[in-house]
Amino acid sequence: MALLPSVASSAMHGAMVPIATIASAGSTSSILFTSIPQIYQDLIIVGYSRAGNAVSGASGYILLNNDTTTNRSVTVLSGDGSSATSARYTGSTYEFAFSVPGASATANIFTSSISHILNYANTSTYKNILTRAALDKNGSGVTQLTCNLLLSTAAITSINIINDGSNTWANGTTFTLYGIRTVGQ
Amino acid sequence: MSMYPIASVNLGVGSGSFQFTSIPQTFSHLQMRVFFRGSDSGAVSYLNVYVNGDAYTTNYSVHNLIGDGSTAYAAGTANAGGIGNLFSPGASSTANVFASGIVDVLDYTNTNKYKTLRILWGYDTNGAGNVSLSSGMLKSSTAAVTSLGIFNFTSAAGCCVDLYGISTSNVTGA
Repeated sequence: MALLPSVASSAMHGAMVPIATIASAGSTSSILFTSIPQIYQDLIIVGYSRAGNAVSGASGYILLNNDTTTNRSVTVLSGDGSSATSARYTGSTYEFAFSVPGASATANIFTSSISHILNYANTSTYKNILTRAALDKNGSGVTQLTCNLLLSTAAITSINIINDGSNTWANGTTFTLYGIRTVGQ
Repeated sequence: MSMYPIASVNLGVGSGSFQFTSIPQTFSHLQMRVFFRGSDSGAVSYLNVYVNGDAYTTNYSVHNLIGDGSTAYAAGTANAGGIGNLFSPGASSTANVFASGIVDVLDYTNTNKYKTLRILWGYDTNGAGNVSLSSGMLKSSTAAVTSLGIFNFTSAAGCCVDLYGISTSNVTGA
């Protein structure tokens, strides 16, 4: 298909539109985006995160529509500096999306993550989250690619990002939600 | 750095190939975002990415790092016909599950370099699935990328592909 006509219209705006940014001052346990506009093709979440609890490492979870049923699964690919592994977790109420350092880890270290949610406003397909995350603790760390599935066709109207269920996000943690326009949006 | 929508297509039910053509040479990079499910009979469906209409040749070098939920493994093909090993759910897989893929083409207008594509890909069917990091190089030509697409697929209803241009300067005046 020829592209030039659509390029003319797309030139009027950028495709990556910031929707909201949430930062933790150290006591926030839930990064909650609500009332997500249903006007984009995809969503992207850019995260810079660290857990506030006194552990060396924790897990970040992304809950779509605050759905805490067990209708979910995730496939994980990880490299920890010495080996590559893959795992799958199904049926839990909170599904792993990426690893984060905890308060016992070296200071000032955060996980960088980018999560893609394609076709999020669609109401006929199950929703998935493709996340690329990186964490290096100067001697240990992990690089990850995960794909989360939520067995729900509902459009995504809210996203809740938590760590290990109920712990806080450390000061300096930020998550920014973007909408990705396609042609005509 | 800004991102601009170039074109979008809903594949519909069908098989064969699709490519975005006449890609403008005004951006710095390209990103193709793919939402895909196969309609062929198996639990796993496949597709390939191709550049400048070069498909079913021996002109690609491909490397993949793949996780299938139990094992992580690497694969590579020296003289591939396209950039493959992009697994997706097939018709007998869990209903309503699609794969998501992000295909990046950096410096696509350059005419002095072979083009290497970077692909993030993944799906999960609640019991099966794959995630992969892939690279694919078109080694037959340093020509600028003017078309980009997927081939050798059989798509289900609901598949869509979107192409974006990434600028590092204000190329549009917007």
